[in-house]
Amino acid sequence: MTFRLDRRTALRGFVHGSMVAVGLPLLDIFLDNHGEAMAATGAPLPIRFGTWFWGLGVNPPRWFPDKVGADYDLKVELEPIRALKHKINILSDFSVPLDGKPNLPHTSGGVGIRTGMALDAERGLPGPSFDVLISDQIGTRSRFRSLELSATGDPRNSLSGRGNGNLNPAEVSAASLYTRIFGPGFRDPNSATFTPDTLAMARRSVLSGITDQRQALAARLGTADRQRLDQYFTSLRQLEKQLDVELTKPEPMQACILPKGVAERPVNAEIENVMVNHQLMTDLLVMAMACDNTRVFNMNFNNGASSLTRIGSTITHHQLTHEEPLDSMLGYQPDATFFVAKCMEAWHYFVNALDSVKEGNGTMLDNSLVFAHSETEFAKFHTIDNIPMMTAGSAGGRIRTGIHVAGDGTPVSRVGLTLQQAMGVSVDRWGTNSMETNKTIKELLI
Amino acid sequence: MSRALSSRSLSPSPSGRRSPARWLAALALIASPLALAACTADKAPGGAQASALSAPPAPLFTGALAQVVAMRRITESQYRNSIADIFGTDIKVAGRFEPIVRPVHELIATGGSASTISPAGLEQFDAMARGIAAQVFDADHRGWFVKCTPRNPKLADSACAAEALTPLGRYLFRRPMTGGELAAYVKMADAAATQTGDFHMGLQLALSAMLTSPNFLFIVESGEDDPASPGDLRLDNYSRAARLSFFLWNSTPGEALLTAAAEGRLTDAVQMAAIAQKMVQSPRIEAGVRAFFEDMLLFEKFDEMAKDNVVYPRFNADVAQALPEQMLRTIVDHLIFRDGDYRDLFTTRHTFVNRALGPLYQVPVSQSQGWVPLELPAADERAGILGQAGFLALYSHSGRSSPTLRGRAVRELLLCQPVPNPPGNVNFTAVQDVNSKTLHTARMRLNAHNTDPVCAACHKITDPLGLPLEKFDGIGAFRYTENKAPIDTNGVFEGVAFSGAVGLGKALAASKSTTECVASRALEYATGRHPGEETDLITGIEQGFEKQGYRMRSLFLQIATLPQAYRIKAPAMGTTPAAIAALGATPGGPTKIGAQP
Amino acid sequence: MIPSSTIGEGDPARSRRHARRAAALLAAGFLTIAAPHAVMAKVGPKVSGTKVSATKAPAAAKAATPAPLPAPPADGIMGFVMTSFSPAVHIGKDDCPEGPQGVLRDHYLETLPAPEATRLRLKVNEEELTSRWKKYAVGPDDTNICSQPQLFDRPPTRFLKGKVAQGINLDGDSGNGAGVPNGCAHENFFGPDGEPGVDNQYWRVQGCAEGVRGVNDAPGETTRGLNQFLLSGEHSQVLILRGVDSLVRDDDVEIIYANTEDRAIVDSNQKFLPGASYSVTRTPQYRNVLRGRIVNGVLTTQPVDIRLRQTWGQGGGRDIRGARSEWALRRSQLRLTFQPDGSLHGIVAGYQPLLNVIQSPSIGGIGAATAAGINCAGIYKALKLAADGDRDAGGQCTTISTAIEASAIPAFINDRPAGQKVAER
Repeated sequence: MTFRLDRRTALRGFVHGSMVAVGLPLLDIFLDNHGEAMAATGAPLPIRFGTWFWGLGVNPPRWFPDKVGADYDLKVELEPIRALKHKINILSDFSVPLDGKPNLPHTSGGVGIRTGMALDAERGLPGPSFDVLISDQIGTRSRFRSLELSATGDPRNSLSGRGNGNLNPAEVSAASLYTRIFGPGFRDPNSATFTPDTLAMARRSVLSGITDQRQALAARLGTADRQRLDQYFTSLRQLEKQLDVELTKPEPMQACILPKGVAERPVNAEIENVMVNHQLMTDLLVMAMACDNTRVFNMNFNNGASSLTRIGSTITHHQLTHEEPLDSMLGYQPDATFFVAKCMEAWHYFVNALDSVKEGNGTMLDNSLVFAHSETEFAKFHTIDNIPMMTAGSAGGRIRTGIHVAGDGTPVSRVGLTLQQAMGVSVDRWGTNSMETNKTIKELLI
Repeated sequence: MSRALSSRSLSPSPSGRRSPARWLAALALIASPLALAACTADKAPGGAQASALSAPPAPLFTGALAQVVAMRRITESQYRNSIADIFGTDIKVAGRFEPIVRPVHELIATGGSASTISPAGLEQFDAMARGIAAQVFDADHRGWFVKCTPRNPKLADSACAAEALTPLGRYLFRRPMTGGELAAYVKMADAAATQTGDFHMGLQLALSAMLTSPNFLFIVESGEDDPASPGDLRLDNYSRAARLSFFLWNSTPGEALLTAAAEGRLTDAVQMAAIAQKMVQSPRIEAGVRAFFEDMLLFEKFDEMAKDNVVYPRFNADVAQALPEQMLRTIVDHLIFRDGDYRDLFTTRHTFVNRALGPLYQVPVSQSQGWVPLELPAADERAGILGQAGFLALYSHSGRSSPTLRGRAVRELLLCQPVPNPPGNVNFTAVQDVNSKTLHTARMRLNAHNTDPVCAACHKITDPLGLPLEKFDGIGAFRYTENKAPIDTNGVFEGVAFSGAVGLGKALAASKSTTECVASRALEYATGRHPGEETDLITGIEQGFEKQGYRMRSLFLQIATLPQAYRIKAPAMGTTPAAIAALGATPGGPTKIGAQP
Repeated sequence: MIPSSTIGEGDPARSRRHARRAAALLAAGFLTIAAPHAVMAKVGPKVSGTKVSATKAPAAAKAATPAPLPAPPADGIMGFVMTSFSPAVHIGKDDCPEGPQGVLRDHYLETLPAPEATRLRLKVNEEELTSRWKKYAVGPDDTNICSQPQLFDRPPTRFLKGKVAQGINLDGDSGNGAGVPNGCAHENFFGPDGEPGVDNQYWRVQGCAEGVRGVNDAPGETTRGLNQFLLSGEHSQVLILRGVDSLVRDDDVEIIYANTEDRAIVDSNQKFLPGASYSVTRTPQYRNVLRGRIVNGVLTTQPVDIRLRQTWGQGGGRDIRGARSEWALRRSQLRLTFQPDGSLHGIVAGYQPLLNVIQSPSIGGIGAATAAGINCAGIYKALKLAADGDRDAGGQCTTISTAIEASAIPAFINDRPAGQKVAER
């Protein structure tokens, strides 16, 4: 521990030069977040954001923890995440107020979570989904701005888009996904060539222009104000450094290995097949990120009104949630619940795949923020308050993990706002009407 | 319709969009009748407002810039108002503002004089700046700000860039740019245009640099020799323009003020008084008064207010959002629209409600949308600003009321009388047990707690001002009883006994401490410096305030024209009083009132 | 009862969570505890009536425990907002001896010869069965049993067999209804208090449908949905009572029964708050004017046609989801009882057009039949057989008596009388 402390102290002196007044609390926080990664590799590791969607919710009493805060309890339906619980947050008790607009079953809830808006009619997204706003921030410089995937088939199974009829279609075949990422056009981060971005170059020289004005202002200042100005220019240098990193050929991505091809497989909604497709797609996606070809993704395990079936059966998951009676002894619908268990099993596979890739001192999951959610709380009744949601990964130290946050009935748009801010989107207020909010979830942000 | 609502309708403009340089319309009161049309001219790009922007010459600053005596971090609302006034209300400002730390027992306004900008904060300012600049020079807006045509839109054009940036720099930096500054920004625009192959992208990046510059993010106050007080400095003309504008209107100085500064009229006492007089009579004074009371009454605490929804199920997000707005509407209605006596703010029966607040006040609300005036009946036990649910809820715990927090807030915020923090090892059990079988009311519980003389010493200061408000629960709803026991609302202040919220309001209204406190806060707010031991000055301001019938406009006018407020005792370069003040005002955490029973 | 100290200060977040969780469980049917009574504000224990002795207690009210009723306000105007409004449920153990109404798959199997039905029920034949029962939902020319139930002639769904139901004697008849002008013969119910002649043929048809009746003592989807729409503002309703001099006896009260477009003001548990303000709708046809009387705390009204907005957020048709329709309650009567806490509780009854009963699945179309298994055509047939009002020239009754259970709590209501546009400014 003392070694780390000394190293940071030394780093601070090195990075900021001898002029800087030490002991500035805000500066310390900054270094705690980013200093180490920068010192280790010269460049920060890429931070990814993605969503993982599953349809038809859960059985609330069997899924939501009782305990709020750290060290939450795991109910039977969340048991699959046990090994990674410390990297996963549970979000409960947020609401999707519709302001008198109809609750379009299996649509309004998921769309409300992703856009902060209530849906008027079933005609696509009413506005941009927040994953797109995040990809505008972090996805513009990688080869794919984002990758959309559906393990259940149907390219329209997507909750990502800009609204006004735009929906990012989902890739439904693992084989096609392989070709898209690793076929011709694959950008190998370990190759020798690098072309810096012209806009970043222009911005970099503009920042130098501001720095050039330092002398003129400093000359007019007294001691105390000059110190404050020095701190301002220290902050400016951090901005310049960030741009310098963008303009420098990136470090080799050590985990990036070209995977073997994937054979064509059936694309349908049979759960046994969906599990396999989901695993293949997950593995390809993880490698796409290890090779930094994308930093944003949207994985849809099943669809809203879930068409999942079991091989040899014709009754769908969706149909079961409505037709199957609540077992009065068990208190839930056993056949429908089978699919809930499969969804959580797949979620664990996904998170674990990210956590298996070592990056820096941690894993890819530690450098990611994955937001998982459904579109209903309890599908039998189409309830859209208290929709089950989770986050996984700490986004490179920006998100606290291993806690259960209760929203106390506040609008779910707080989640979208918080995650956008964590990913650096310049937004202080998000959502419309009753979902408009400027209240982030402080428990999550570090 | 009430005067409050009709006055508010003056801004923004009927079209819902305020045009660039909106202040031209308001400042027509001062300078000239020109450009009232600016309010509605947004339908005609390149019309009145654009020509207004380029109409007056936008000269460069000649000579040397004076010594800086203070650098005040621009607040979030000042930033937003500046952008709206300069570029129009349809330019969106999206981002997180690094908060300015409030020094203990002081204002955010003084915190701004000592505040710096962290790397994370600057990252946000940079992102906001690029967002704003992209909108200003997009195809829809650039016609208003770029009157020249670049020779080739894919190449740099220094002359056209200079023409576009010169007036913008003057508005953003609140003074004309120096030749060196302009050359630097034009150079940035040229370089960026060349690199990106886009003239307008060059302008965007140059403007975002201006918006990220310390000259914009800090309100830089500079001083010149004060002929009236040899050896001292006084704020120079441009600094005075900014001071007047941010103090009175909470926004950046507009054309008329900048012109007055250029002509040296703001160091002329008579001319400056005339300008300030017109500014306090303008409807825009509302924004200034709102911002002042938000600061004085610690409104940032509303952002963190949370209530236990088992105890107070009817407290919801709509109620939380309405509470601060209700207080501000009551304040500006009384002090500005009704031109009321500040002391009567503590007893007024006029307020406003919306549908969200109807159930809390148990009153009908005649409109589905917006706010409607409410006059509380003469017999109502609720009156004045202290009877507002916002104040009562903010100074309560999440699940119960708190006479101590309320009394402390009255002492510290309204009387400027700091109360010591409790010692670290206090046993609060008796106070916190709201379900006690024997101690039914807060008064009984506090009496039990105060058998400890250490506690009693402070509670004697706070509780007699909080217990009179006990008929209002932790969210400010009226109650007759607590745990079925009658509530004793007797209190005492400056030796006079009274009861209830109405009695407390009258007691405060009768005290010199009340009016001295607001006078002192207004001076601190305007100057960004804590007045410290300048009691004579405060006494003098209070006397002037009294002479004018305790009218808020008169207080603001007095402070805006007070020579001492512009004077800086400057012993030597490098150790200005502002610098000393900044060093002395060690930024601590926010006032930790919450840690008390 | 939970000791209150555990809810107090110990861990507010935790207790808050428990309360919300309990509410959620209750709503989802996992718990069956009774919801606590809301404590209304501004309700004192005062009784103004000195005329109590002068009033004869009618026989029907004898079961009610005399509870102190609040005095009406001095101006005689009382406002309320409806907090529940859904088909009145009465659970009798002999109601559905053949089981619940069932779903389309079962109804299809019942049409087949027994050996064929048995064969199809085998697991190996599930695919064939699914394909066949789903085909049973559609007709020629892209029609289906829910969008066009009247085009199909299907066996009626099961009727409720019980003798007791909630409701009002709407036709004044206690026999078999055969002699009622413009009516059709039907078997009357007894009310829960033994009142004869109760008309509620809706319950006869839908009383065994799980969505209406509920499952395992939890409210059905219809009940939950309709009450949810009051909360979401899709068809919120308000009442204004004018000229109320006494809750004990008042022979003439004017009642405005209307929709409001204002969003419900609710607490953090999604319960309506008393003392909130609502404005009557701007749509004049949804502002109904009724006349009534109060006897011993019970408000009854003279029959009048009532129209109210009805919004269905649920269904399956892609473009008409959320379609707006109407409650059309002909010759409707209210019977609402003032509660000691200031609220109102009782019955709104009237005759509704047959297709209105299945409006929600009709809007839902084919999806209602194949995803939720609702046999619209079978229900429609049952409705035709049970219909008891507005007989047409061919002798078929076209409306069906219905009882809706309604509750309301005090609110401030801003009226918008028709043609009063100037006053609004």
